[in-house]
Amino acid sequence: MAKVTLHNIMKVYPAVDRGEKPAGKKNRSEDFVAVRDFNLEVSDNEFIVFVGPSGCGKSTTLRMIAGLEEITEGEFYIDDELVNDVAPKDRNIAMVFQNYALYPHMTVYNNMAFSLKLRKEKKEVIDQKVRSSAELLDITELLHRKPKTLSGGQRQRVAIGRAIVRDPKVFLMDEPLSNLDTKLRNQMRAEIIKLRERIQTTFIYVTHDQIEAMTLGDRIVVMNNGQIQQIGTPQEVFDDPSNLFVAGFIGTPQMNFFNDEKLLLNEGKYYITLFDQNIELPQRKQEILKARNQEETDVVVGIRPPHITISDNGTLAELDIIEMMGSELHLHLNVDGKDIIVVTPTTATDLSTLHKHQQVKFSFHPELIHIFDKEIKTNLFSL
Amino acid sequence: MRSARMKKKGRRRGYLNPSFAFAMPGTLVYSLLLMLPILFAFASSFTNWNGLTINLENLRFIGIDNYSRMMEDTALKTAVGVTLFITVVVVLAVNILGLGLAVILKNSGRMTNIIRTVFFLPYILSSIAVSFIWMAIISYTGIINSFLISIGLDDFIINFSATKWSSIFWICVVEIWRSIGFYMTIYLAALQGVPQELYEACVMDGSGKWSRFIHITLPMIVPQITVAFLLSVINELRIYDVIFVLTGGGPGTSTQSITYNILTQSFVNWRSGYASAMAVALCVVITIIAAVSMKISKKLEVDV
Ligand SMILES: Nc1ncnc2c1ncn2[C@@H]1O[C@H](COP(=O)(O)OP(=O)(O)O)[C@@H](O)[C@H]1O
Ligand SMILES: [Mg+2]
Repeated sequence: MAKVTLHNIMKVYPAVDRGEKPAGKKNRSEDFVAVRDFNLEVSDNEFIVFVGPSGCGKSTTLRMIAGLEEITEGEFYIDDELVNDVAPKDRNIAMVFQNYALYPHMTVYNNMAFSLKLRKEKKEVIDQKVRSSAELLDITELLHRKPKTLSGGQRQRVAIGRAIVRDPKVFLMDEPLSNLDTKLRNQMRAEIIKLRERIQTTFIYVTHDQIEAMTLGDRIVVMNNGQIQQIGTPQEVFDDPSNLFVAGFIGTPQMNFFNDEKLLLNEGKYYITLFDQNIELPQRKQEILKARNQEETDVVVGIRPPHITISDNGTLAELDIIEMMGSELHLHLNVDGKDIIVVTPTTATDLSTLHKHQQVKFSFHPELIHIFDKEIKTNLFSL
Repeated sequence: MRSARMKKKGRRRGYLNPSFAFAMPGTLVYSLLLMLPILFAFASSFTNWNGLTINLENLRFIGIDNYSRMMEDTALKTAVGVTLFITVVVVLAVNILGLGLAVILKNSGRMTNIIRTVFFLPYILSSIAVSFIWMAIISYTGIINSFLISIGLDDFIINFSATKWSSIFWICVVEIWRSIGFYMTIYLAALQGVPQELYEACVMDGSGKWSRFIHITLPMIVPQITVAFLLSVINELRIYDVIFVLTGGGPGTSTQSITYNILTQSFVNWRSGYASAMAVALCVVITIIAAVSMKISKKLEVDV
């Protein structure tokens, strides 16, 4: 249980560490900035998820929090205490690694007891803690086994068990589910949600999987290229993506983007061009733009696939591909050579009326469109 | 399945199984040069053969006489003592120092490869050559003494071969110097094979450097420790060349090793039968040591 504050954190990997060609040779690359301008306040008991594409600096940030990487610049506080230079073991942080990193030569019991033994806890205390954690994770019957005899899911539980036995202030997890198959991953995700209710700790969880991020996080930190793109609740990040990157990264299938549109201002009212029409923006959005004195500009318009509906009137399109996903249908529409994806619930559609290459009409609610500045890629509706 | 099919095909066409054909030259050379001499030595260890005559008149089968004679052989007793002493010292030194050097080297960044090569170099040289290099340094007329004399420190000149123990000391030094790079390389490879994540997990669990070494490194490299230990024991039990050059077994016969003793018996005293018996006995001892340490290692070993 702790508050965690990261202030202007930056991580630079020197060129030599990156196995780059040694000095003197041409083509020697510069130092590499893996993370920059990282500002975040995590409150007590919060579940924070770092999400972003591979290589964006999530692990690096997590490892700086753990103390496994040095913080190049910036301040890192746990409960208002500056801990930049505090050794990992004195930070009281536990971490679950992607490959579990269980000690292969120790039984499950000893894996879990190890940190307590290092702390010189009493034998009975260790035993009691290990057993109650094992019970919590339903691995009591595995306690005498060695890691190599366990399945992926069981190893994952043991790794979590090893971390929770010592009541860490902060609990870090780096892509803990990415080595599991889909079914097990969904199951473990649910378990983590349950676990979270039972142990009172601050969680920081790293994943590249936006579904994990959305389902687990109280708040999500979306990262790209070593920088935070947006911090917000899953709802906020989904409904109000702060820029094009977040809009494209969160949500499957991806948001439909229309790149060559314009924001127009006519007699005090804002319009956007889309499918050869001028569409008047709804009242709430008008006010946001007005308050900011937004000028006419080139924009990218985004509409999420579920926010488009097939209807009797609207824009004409050709139906290219029909993907039956079970409970929903993914329809690929072609409008003047541009591919648009529409998601509709299977129950709301009569499949027998849909055929490839058929002409259909679609519409969308202006309330649900997003507009991004084409130049600087920010959401024009963000306050 | 495949080999069964091949056999059938071969028989039908009247050819030899090709794998036989390929294995033949190697098998021949191996048996001619290795297996036959071993069998021959084993056989001759039950005879009084002198190693010279082909005249079979005097050749007698004398049962286990050669073996029982070993029990009363005082020269052999000395040799066993010397060999065991050198073995214990050198094995401990090359394994402990080798591992220590490997640990240091693992964290020395870009210098690692250079240092590793430098340390490995002596191992490539023949031990005879190494011994002569050291002779040039430490012998009575060697570099060290010349230097000491030239600066007037005549009182400190060394005469390493004057006593049994200083001879053994220098034999150990040369032997360690010669082979430590090899063991260091084994250990370095072993250390590099330990997953970094285990160390990080251990750091997170609150360990210090020393406890990581004890709880992660050592258990994870048990297989390589076994190999290095075995190789060094076998090597030192057979020590010969360095002694031959450095002390010639002297003063007297006080630094003769087992192998040295065997060779003396065989080619100086011309008692080949007896020498063969000692060689067979040494071979048996080494085999037992190997078997036992493999057993122990299997117990300690971690399978990931
Ligand atoms: N030890 C290191 N030395 C040099 N560069 C590194 C090191 N670790 C990571 N990087 C680089 O930093 C960037 C971010 O890495 P990482 O934090 O692991 O990304 P993520 O976990 O988001 O996939 C990557 O481009 C990676 O190549
Ligand atoms: Mg990562």
